[in-house]
Amino acid sequence: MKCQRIQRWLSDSLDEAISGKKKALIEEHIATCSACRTFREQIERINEEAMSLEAPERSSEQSREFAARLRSALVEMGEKNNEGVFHAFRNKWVFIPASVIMISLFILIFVFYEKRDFLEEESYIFSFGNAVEEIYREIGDEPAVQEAFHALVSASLNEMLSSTDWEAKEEWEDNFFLWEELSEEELRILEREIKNENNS
Amino acid sequence: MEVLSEDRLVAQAKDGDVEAFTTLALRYREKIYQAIYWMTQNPHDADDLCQEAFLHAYKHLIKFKGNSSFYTWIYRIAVNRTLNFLKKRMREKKRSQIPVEECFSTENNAFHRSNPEEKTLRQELREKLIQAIHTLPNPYQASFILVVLQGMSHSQASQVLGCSANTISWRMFKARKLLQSKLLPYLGEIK
Repeated sequence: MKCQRIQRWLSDSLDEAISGKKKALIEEHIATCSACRTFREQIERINEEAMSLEAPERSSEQSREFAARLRSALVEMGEKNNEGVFHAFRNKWVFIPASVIMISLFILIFVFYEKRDFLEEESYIFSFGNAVEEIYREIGDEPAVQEAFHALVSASLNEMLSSTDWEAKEEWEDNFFLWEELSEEELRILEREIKNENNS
Repeated sequence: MEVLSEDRLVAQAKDGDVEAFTTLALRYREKIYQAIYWMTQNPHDADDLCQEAFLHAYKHLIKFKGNSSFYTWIYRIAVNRTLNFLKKRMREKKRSQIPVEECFSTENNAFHRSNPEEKTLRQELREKLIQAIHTLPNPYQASFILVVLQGMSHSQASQVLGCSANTISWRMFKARKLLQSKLLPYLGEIK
């Protein structure tokens, strides 16, 4: 039998990890092999010396210190964990309702996003009046600016009225926002044009 | 005072009971400290790594499913962290040089009973043995420490180191062969 195998068994036998059958084979081999006999003596000596090595004893004072340090670190760790936003989600009674709420919110946001065109259209109608108001606020009491703006609107009206596009004219007449905001002069022009149109 | 079972303490610790976990830690701390101490040969590193191992265990206690004993689980964490620490220390080449005589107590009753000449020879052998253990490759060193110095069976050591018992047997054989070759000049002088 090869010495290497016997020597491995010798190592196992020191750790009490070997069967009785192998022990018998070892003894049989050792009786005739001085190399393996020497190996056994040497590893037994190493084992004996290693087992007699002693790590320094920890005093009871050191144990108490260790316990105190560990306890304090554990408490600190626990506090940090509790501070975390997601700590509560570890509990299923928090996780499940929170998940349901989050999914519902997600659906609401999705629906709102899908309907945004309709809402934007609504806000456009109202923002037109706001825009006109805003223009007049911006103009304020500046006569020069007011005059320029009225001139611009009058020019636009004249252009519109001289046009042959009757659909556009009707749109103008129906738009009360513009009517409300027109100046005296602009209203007189419109009135004259309407009379002319009726007479013709 | 009632001595609580390991399972009960683990269950309480999982619910955030710091006292239960501290009780567990104190129960196994000495053995774990010594294993780390043998591996690092530095009391300060051993203290720090021991505490780190317990804090890591507490933080990840939810992952402990009870497939092994808590003792084996915490041992495994401690040894793995120590092996990583040793690898890092080797890389950084900042190994703290603690005199051998401060690392291990080489005095015991048998030692005191020896005559002065034998005492010197044995002391020399022990010092060389400590150095030799320290120079073993990490897996061999860890196996040797757990089995010889900590008295674990191959099966227990295999659970801690996450390998088979057969691997432990092989590592022990290789570790002993290496120690034997390193200590050969000193072994002959011992009677």
